[in-house]
Amino acid sequence: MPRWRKISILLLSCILLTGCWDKVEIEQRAFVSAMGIDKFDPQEEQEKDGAEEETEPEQISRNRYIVTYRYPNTSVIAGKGEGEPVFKATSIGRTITDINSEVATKLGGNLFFGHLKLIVIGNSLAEDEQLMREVFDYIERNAMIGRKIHYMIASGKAKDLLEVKLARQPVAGLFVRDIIEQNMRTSQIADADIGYILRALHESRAAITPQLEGSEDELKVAGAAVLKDYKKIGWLGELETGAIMFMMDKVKNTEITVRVNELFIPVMIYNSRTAVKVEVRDGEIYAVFDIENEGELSQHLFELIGDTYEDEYLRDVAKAVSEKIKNQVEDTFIRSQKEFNADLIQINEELRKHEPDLWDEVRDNWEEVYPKVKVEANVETDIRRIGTTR
Amino acid sequence: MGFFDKLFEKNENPIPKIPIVKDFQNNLDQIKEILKDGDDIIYREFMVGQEQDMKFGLVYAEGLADKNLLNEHILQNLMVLCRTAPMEVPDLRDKIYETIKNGSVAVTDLKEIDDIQVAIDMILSGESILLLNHWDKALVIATKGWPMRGVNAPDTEKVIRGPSDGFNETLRVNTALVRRRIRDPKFKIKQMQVGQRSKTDIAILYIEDIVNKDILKMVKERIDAIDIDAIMESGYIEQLIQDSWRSPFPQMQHTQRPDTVAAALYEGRVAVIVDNTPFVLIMPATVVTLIQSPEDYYERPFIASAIRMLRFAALILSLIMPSLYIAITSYHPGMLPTDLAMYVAGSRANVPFPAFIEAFIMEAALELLREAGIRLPGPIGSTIGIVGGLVLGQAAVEAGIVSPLMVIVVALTAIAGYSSPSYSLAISYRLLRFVMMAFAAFLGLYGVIWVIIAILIHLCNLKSFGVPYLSPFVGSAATPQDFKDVFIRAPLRYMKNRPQYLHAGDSQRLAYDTQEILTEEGDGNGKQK
Amino acid sequence: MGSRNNDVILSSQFAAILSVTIIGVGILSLPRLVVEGAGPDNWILLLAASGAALFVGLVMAFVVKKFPGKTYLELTQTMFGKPIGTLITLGFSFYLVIFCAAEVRIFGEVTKQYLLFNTPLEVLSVTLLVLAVYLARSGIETIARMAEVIFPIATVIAILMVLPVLPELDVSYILPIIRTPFMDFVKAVPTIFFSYLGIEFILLYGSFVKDTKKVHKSVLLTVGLVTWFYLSVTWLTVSRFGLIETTHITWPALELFKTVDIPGAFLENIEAFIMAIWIFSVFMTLAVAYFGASLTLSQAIKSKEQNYLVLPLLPIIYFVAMIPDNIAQVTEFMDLYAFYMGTLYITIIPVALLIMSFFKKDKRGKKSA
Repeated sequence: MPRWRKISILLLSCILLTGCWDKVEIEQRAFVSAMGIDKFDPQEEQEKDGAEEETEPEQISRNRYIVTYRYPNTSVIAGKGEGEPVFKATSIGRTITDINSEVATKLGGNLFFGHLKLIVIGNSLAEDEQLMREVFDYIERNAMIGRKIHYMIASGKAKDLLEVKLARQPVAGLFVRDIIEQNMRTSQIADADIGYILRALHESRAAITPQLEGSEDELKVAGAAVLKDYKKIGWLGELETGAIMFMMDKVKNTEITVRVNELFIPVMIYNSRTAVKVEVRDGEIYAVFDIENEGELSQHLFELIGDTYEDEYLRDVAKAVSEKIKNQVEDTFIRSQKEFNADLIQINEELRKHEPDLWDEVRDNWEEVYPKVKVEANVETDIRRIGTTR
Repeated sequence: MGFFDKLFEKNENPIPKIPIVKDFQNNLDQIKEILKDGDDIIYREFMVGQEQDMKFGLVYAEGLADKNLLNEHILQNLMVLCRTAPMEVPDLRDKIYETIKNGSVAVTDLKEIDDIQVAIDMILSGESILLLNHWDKALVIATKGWPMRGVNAPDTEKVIRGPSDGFNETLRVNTALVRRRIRDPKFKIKQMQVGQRSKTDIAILYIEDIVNKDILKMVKERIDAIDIDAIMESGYIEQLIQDSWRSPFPQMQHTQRPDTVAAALYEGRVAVIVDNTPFVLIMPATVVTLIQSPEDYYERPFIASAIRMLRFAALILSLIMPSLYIAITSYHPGMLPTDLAMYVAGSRANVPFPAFIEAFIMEAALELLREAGIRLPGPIGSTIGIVGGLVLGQAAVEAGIVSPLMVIVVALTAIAGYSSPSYSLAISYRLLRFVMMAFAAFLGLYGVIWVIIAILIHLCNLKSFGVPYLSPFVGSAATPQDFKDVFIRAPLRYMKNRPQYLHAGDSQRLAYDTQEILTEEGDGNGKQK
Repeated sequence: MGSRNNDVILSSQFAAILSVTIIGVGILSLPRLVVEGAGPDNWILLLAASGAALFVGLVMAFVVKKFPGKTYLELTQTMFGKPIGTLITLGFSFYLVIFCAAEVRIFGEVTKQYLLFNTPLEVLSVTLLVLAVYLARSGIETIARMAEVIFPIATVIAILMVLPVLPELDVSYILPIIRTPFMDFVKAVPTIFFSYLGIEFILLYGSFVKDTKKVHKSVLLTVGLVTWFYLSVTWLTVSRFGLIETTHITWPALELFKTVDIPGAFLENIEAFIMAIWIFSVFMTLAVAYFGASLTLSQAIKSKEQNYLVLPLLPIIYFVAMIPDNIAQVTEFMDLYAFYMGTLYITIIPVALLIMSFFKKDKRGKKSA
């Protein structure tokens, strides 16, 4: 055997025998499934009785965040152990990394963020630009945190939301994902993961994030927060969020109820497609949304036979649906201009792509130009199905 | 033809010749002296002729020679019949050979020799030697006939469809089994003896105008170079002539099935049959030939292709599954879907060992079970399997020493490993699996990749008789044609050529217009009678 | 040790070697570089760079075809005279050693970032280098076979992994077409051109090719394949991240796979898997360059066997790889290094060889062809 081989084998075994640097057995990891980040408010903390940490005066200025982690009790999931299905841990500190290591020491385990599903930002933190930018950077820089996780802004404190005990506690401990998926199907919520939010912020410094609300035993995703210059500047209602989703071509299924001939007719919308265009007419910039929908009429009136079997009538219904969507879209767009001056749909990117000359002109004062952009929504709806009765 | 003649030129016998002399007693004594204390050698002296004046001696090894044949066709003829019907040959002493051959000894194969050393070899391989007084030659009578196993179905390499005759321990029977499948005058069986003491018969089989002459030459040269006292099994030959003894991978295929050998010969490979063993070597082997099963060619191409792909997947799985388990659980739990990761974490909650030790214990236990199962006789062997597999596994899980997932992984690995048609490939995988597990324990996924790259480099380095081991994936000779028989088994009508990477002489296998004719007939509606 | 190779490869194997060599650590940061350089005109930039690569590739192929079977040393010595030729060959060896070191270092950094966070860089580098030693000692034929095996596997898996992203491919990101200022564009071309680093091996390994007449076909195939690969990675990344975010991410091509969800798959976060495939291709680049370094060194110092020089190079490469303090320094150094040394060995020397070859009429070379 040549000498080099002996040497290399020796070398290799030396390396390997000192090894296992990264080995952490899977059961020793705490799979953080949700993380809540709040702004540390010294006064509030002092008022509160029995605060977890004794906060000395000089420490107060150093603490800036309160981070809450929620991680499942994996033994319960495997059907082996008993007890709480979910554990929670909270700590305060100056940076998120500090808090991570502090909590890890406290738990005696390793926090693992590879399966993180949700980051909730407390309302007060969301309004602080400096801290928000730090949080965004932390998320973007961290190799473990995926880009498919949900990033939401709490209506109140993130900590409270993560400590909600759900009435129907999912066994898997992945309550977040279950809730979100449930919500996705049924209502109009912002379909915005961290990947989208980061990208939108990079492109137009404005984005929407879903809003998380909670009560005693319930969590709800409702409406959205508007981010501008990396901080929250306002809320959007559910309908407006839906309209934004229409504009971003992210609508999967939704329901629109219209009033035709004194009747409330709910129409299930599916197969919605949106094309965004930017046009210049008479020196004005127009944002044009061409929306095409297909729908199913899901309720009409009992014993009113025949109406729904007429093409004419269905067209009327469809027209009403289109009209409604059109109004919503245009109103929401105008609100985003007038109230927030936040380019939520990344019209600037469209402009850059399709009207490069114009974009070169307005690039530097887009903030002023955006509110003047005219909006036009062309909605076309076809009602394809009417259910099983005529 | 010159090539083949030269290839098989007889090399001279190194043992000095002991000539047979006219003195009968002297010859017999010589033999007796050499074979002293060989109590299984029978010396039968008898007188022949009306006057009982001719002294004959018959020497044979008991058990190796066919006693019935000796009694009925030699002794009876010479001792009894010759007396009743005297031989009317004037010059008996000179013409004794013709006389006996034509007149008295009723056996098929007779040879005349003049060397006692040769005579001894013959005796020891089961022939009988007939010595005559006053004659300086001896007669070799082909009386080989010893108790042997019949042509049974082979224990390994079972197929559902296909012939179930298998080789046995007798060279002659084995060559006959192959010859039955190749009635081609170009099919050659070249015999030689290897082993200073064992003098084991070895036959090299090839089809003259198909085989790649370089490969044949290499086989011949390497076998010639063997200078060993004894060959016990074809494994001896395999280990002595393979390209790289350091490799864990088998560089020759071994089989008990004559149809596999015949098919290999038709592809242009060389087979070596060794006496005393039913395992025939086929060379060169590539990684693909070790995954092909004869049944692939007998079944319909689609199902055969599907099964073959399954086998490929199984091979890869059996190699990497335990190490992937270690790497993922100990290093990269992020790779698993969230639910599964949580479940794995929970199921390992009270396991006292790290994943590597856990996997190591289970794999070692499995290897033990396998070993125990092989050694024990059939019914008890299966009991061990049940006790070990079910009871032990269940108890280990319940005791919390291993996690249930680990048991599943180990069981799947074992099953996947068994699906390989080549036992020797499967056992080499068993070894590599442990190496890979060790690296996975140290470096996680990178360790697994590291070992895979190392194995790949080794495989790329490896050649079997000049043919790259990874053919037809690599190598200058491989053509896209060859991929018709790798992951899939193309319909026979499309496999028109022999494997190109072997550089077979006559590479065409199926007439090029066959396909059209077959299709035409298939379309014709009135052709069936 | 199996039978010794006779050191002959086919032009198809040559193409495989070149492809796996060119695609190395660069692929991870390529989308960022391209987008930084030309924004929406990234594809034109890529095509322009590939055109440049094709040009020098064909120049080298021409030289190889004109002097078949000539080693790098012989080529440079006949063209520039003995001392200069030796110097160039020695310099090439030196260049390749640094190339290896950079490759190892970036490999270590990425692996540490995405796979093994606490494992020392030293261990990652040495283990990979040991493997490279093994392959470099095995000779060109084994390298060729290895490239032949790895290239299709890596390609197939990469394509499979990309499939889930495909529906979101947004071609509108190439709009507006050709708006980048011309000077910016020209300045960006060299940066991207150095993503084709590895093409200089045509001259080095051309001497092993059996069917020399097809060398230019290998070059075409290689540049085509690599460009296609680069283009698809860039487009996918851009349509996923947009132009602006792409420029923010250090290794966008890897980050891309963090956004991929394979529906119903057994594995969730496939970026670790992508890392695995990427390690294959980095390893091949490293091994080929390593082999080249030892080969040129053995030629320059007139050693008969290249084998013995492989192991002594390991500590050198290792220490060079450990010099930079952080990834920023590595990148800075790589840029400078690629600019000066790369330009010398990829463009100047081949073109000089081409020009000189018109003056020198090689008598034997043509006859033996």
